[in-house]
Amino acid sequence: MKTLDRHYLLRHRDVPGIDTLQGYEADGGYSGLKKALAEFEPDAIVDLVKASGLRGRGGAGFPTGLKWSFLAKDGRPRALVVNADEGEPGTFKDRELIEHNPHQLIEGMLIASYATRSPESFIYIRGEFLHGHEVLQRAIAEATERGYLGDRVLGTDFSHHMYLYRGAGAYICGEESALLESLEGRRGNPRLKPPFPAVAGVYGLPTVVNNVETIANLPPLILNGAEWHRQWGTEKSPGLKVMSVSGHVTRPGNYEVPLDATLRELVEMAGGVRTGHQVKAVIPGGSSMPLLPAGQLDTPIDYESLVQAGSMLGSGGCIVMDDSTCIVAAVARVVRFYRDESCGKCTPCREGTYWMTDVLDRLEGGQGELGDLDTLLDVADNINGKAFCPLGDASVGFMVSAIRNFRDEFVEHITGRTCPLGARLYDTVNY
Amino acid sequence: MVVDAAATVGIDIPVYCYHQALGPLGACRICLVEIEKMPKLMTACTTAATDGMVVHTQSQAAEKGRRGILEFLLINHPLDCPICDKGGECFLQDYVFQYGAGQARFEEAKIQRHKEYPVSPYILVDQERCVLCQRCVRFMGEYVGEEELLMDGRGVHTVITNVPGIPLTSPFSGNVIDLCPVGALLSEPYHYRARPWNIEREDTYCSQCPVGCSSSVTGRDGQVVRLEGRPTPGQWGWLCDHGRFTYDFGAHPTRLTEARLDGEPVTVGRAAQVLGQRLAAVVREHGPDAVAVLTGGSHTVEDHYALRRFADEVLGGSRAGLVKPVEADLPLALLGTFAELDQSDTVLLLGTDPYESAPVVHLALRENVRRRGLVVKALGDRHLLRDTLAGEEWVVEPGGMAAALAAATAGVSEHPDARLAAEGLAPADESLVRLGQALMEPGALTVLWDGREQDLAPALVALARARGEHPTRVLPTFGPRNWLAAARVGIPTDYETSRRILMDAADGRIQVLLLWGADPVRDFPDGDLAARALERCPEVYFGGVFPPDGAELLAGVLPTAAWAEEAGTYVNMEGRLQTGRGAASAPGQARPTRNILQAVARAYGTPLRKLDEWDPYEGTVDDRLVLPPLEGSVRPVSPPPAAESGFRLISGLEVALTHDPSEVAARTKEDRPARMHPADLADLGLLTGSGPVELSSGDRSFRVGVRGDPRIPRGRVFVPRGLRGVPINRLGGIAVAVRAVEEVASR
Amino acid sequence: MLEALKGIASGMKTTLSMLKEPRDTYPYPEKRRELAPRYRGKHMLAVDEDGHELCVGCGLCEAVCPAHAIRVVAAGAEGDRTVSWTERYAVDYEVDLIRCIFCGMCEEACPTNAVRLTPFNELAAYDRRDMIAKKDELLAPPVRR
Repeated sequence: MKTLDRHYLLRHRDVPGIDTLQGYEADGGYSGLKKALAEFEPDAIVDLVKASGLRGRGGAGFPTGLKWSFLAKDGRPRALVVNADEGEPGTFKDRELIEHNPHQLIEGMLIASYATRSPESFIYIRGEFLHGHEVLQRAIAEATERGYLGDRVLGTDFSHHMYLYRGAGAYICGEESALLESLEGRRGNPRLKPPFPAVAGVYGLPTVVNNVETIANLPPLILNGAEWHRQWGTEKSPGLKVMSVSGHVTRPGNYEVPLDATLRELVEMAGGVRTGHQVKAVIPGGSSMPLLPAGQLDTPIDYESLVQAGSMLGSGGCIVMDDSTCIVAAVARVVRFYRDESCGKCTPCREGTYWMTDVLDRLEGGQGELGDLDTLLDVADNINGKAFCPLGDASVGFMVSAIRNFRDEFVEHITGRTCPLGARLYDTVNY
Repeated sequence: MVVDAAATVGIDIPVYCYHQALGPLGACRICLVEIEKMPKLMTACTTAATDGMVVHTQSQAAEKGRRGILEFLLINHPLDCPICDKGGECFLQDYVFQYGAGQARFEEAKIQRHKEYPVSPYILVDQERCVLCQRCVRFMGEYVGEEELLMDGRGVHTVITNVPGIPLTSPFSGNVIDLCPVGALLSEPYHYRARPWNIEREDTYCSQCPVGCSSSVTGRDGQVVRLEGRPTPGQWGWLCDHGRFTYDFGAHPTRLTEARLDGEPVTVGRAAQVLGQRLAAVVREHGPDAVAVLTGGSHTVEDHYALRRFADEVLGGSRAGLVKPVEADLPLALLGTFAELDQSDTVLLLGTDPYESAPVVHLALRENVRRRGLVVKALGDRHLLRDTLAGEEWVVEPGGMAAALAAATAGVSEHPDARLAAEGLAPADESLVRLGQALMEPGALTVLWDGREQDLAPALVALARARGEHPTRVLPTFGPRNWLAAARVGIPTDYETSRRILMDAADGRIQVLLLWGADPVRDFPDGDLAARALERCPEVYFGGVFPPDGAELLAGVLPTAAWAEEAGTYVNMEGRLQTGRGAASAPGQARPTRNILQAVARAYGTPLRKLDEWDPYEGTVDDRLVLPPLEGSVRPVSPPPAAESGFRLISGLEVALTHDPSEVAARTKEDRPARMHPADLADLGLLTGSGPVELSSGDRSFRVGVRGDPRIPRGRVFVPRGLRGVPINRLGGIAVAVRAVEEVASR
Repeated sequence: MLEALKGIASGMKTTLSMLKEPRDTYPYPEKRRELAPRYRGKHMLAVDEDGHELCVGCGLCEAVCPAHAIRVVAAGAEGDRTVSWTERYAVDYEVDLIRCIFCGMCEEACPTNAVRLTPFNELAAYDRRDMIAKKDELLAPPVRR
């Protein structure tokens, strides 16, 4: 891992006062936008982003430049939607970026909108981010006043309007098509694809949906060029990533690291686990992703290595569990989350998560049968790949990897008729 | 889609959420199939079939996926099939039986939800049985455009419900019962009434308006207990609630079930015998012209055929006519079809709001607008467009539609007939020229017309001729249901013939008037003339299902069998013959018309022979009437009546109010049939937006309940035609005085 | 003559030998035949301990009956007056005991175990109409004395 001389995304860590327009401009803010407008044709920015190898930071890791180039070219106006509905358990990077460095997001959105020729953009911010919403509101007002937003941005022919929309608290609205439904004022259920958002997205317009962190990468990328971006990470996964490290570490928080850091390095940056305890397992990318046991801590966090190790980078929410963790309780808690957040549209996710939650609650309470484990795995198999949207797959990834890696612990719960670690679920009542 | 492609080669892929009319959704996931070169199982309902695609519906992976989904669907299902109305005709039962696992693995507690929860007076929701396919929600929200059903809650707690406290009022809501693949949406009137194995379910066509929707009638123990939509090629099988829930009219308390002579009950055989002898005596003495037959257009084609032969052969050439509630005659050459409507580029609503007069046609229009951008124009004496059907409309003075249409045509076209029709009219202003331009657009034009204003017939002929080779078609939305049956058998359907018959009866030139299902006092546009005819004619006999207005003047009554009590052929508004079968038995002494007429003919001394050997379909093309060529000259349209002071009476046809009497459909029947602009109501002192009013013109007056409707222009009062107890055809003239009256203390 | 006497003797031998055999007839009604516990006789409709009928009027017995001997008319309970243990109940339940072939398929088809065939087999009446067992009759199962 190459160490960073400074933060590029979490710039507020180095520069105090950057959350205001003055502070941001003093640190060279909006020079990326000025450079983009002055020196680049829109398509040149798309090519630059393609060349940089920047991949979406929302979870899927789709190459950003490629996504932009998929936009329908039929003369309809386009739209940019920024997905700030950061609901993934264990992930809190967008929140810090929004609350402390909002102008970098706005600048990035302007660059992306210019590159995709979008006259309008929308920020769909998670409903619970009340403070972030206020910060962004203020930042947008500042930027509008200074002429970065509105008609004829900085005197050029490029005009842009930005809208801020607060979600109503549904995890599924982090899925891009459900986000678009919610943004249009309807029930937040994922949409049928095709048509993909690039053809018919928000209000039927060709739409790019990008994550906050992806967009925040743009200003330094424009200023420093593709080669600068490629100096970090691996060939296929270049660049910097903000990792949210949480769980049983002494200094949980966001850490900006190159994409070739290993999980062990991350845990050490976060101060390691509590004294007297060992790492038991790590979820590298938020609760949707399979866990990796302590033996795989040396896996680098780039997209490919993690997939090879049996997990995924996801949104970068690294949850560290030490040996005091009851894996069954953790699984039951996570699956319960997905049961509660399932939108109810498709059968496997709606009913399957309910079923798994009930069985897992029973297991954790010591009321399980040995056959339950096979039932759980079969139910998971009936959900995986058969649900309408990725939430179904997300609900089973952690559980399946946990049963695979810690089957003994599950069996102990069944044969011992209780939880060996004495963990308790705060709520085991079915309603 | 793959599922459709599979169906064409006879492979059944189970589906819940997919419906061709509603489009793909991909929610239920039951249609999982394995497609080669795809990494995971795909839903056959959302994947477009492409050339060279290899799909496995029976592979191990596909079967496991399907079995898994069915297991999921059952975990919160109450498994109460024995008490479920859908039991035996349920897709959940069928698919679990065919594809499901034999044993359940789910041992946890099931979620309890509302059962038998009424979302409207007709519809119950059982949320526990619901598979959340969203067919109902999408049908109401997207297809009909009235978002009255919605999904409430998230995740496993999602349920289908109505807006709290607001029951469904859409006239299309009943279709969700047919759409529901499981027992979640139930028909309240049919609740617990029968099971699929102890009913008679026969193909039929709805009897309540001339659209003639294909449907299935369910009979149990000789009674009709249900009507369902029946999809046919090219039709989705929608019904409106007015048709769907009026199925029980045959068992209504006012139904005629016994024969009467001079008010005394007799057997139907005796009544037929007396009628035959009376007719024989009258014809012998006065000749066949002293007898006339008027049909109400509700009986079958076969019955009309018997009626015509009775008039021709038995009576020796007596006149026959049709009583219909409108004064104009449709040039039959212009009669269009629904298939032509689906191909049309422009639709003109002429005085008719299909939502009220022919509801399912409204759905067809909406689908065409949504699917392929059909252009809708409307010309009427009130606002005819609504939230769910957008377009451009022209509102003219009452009685001015014909003049407007003729002027609009002449304003754009140089055709001599267009000129002739508009002779003496003021030239079209800018707005009417725009209408003319819209109507003269190349491509196909379909006109929906409710048969008001006699002069619209020549105006329409002029328009059709001016449009030249571009097809112009007219779909008549007026009733009675089977009036084209009269045209099929050669009974004159024009207004003038029946007016002459009634005039002669009123003048005493007719000794015996035979009304067959006809209610001239209620339906005939000149109600006074009809009432005089019934009073002056020495003997009026009536055969039919419900007693007509002025029943006390009848010399004899013969109860006839109704729809669904015998097989019979109907002709719908596109001139298409439709044969429905019977599923119930006629109550009391009611007998099929043919049998009664045979008995009368025998008593007369001239039996009708070989009635049953006639085939209604003989000589039809594609089951459709053969239309005459468009010929004859066009006469000038008379200018619109001068504006008068006071309120102007406008009218139309509304199947919601004029359908047959029904105890089931009475649950939502509007008791304030008249409508006025809310501001006019406020001016009358009716601040609640409704109330009883007295309409009067000259020395005539009657009372009617009125409600507010902003789609009625100021200064006009809309009263539907053909309504029992609302004799607007006896007011005469279109200027009326409206006065609010105190509510009579009753109820 | 001798041949004839021989014949009679041989016939009487068979007859007399039968006198030693146990009797197949019963002096009914003083003495009654012992029936197998699962003997299929007249039907009954079962009631649970709260007095609710088990029959929900689903009509499966009607559907399965090979002799078309059963007629069921169902209805929903009005208000709180529940007749069966659920909302739906049988208003009319008739078994035509002349048509019935006592095959027991109704018992097998019943999803609620409401229809049961009792061992009661003394079915006789002076009028054919009395052989149609109505619901109240079936709810009070006959006891074989």
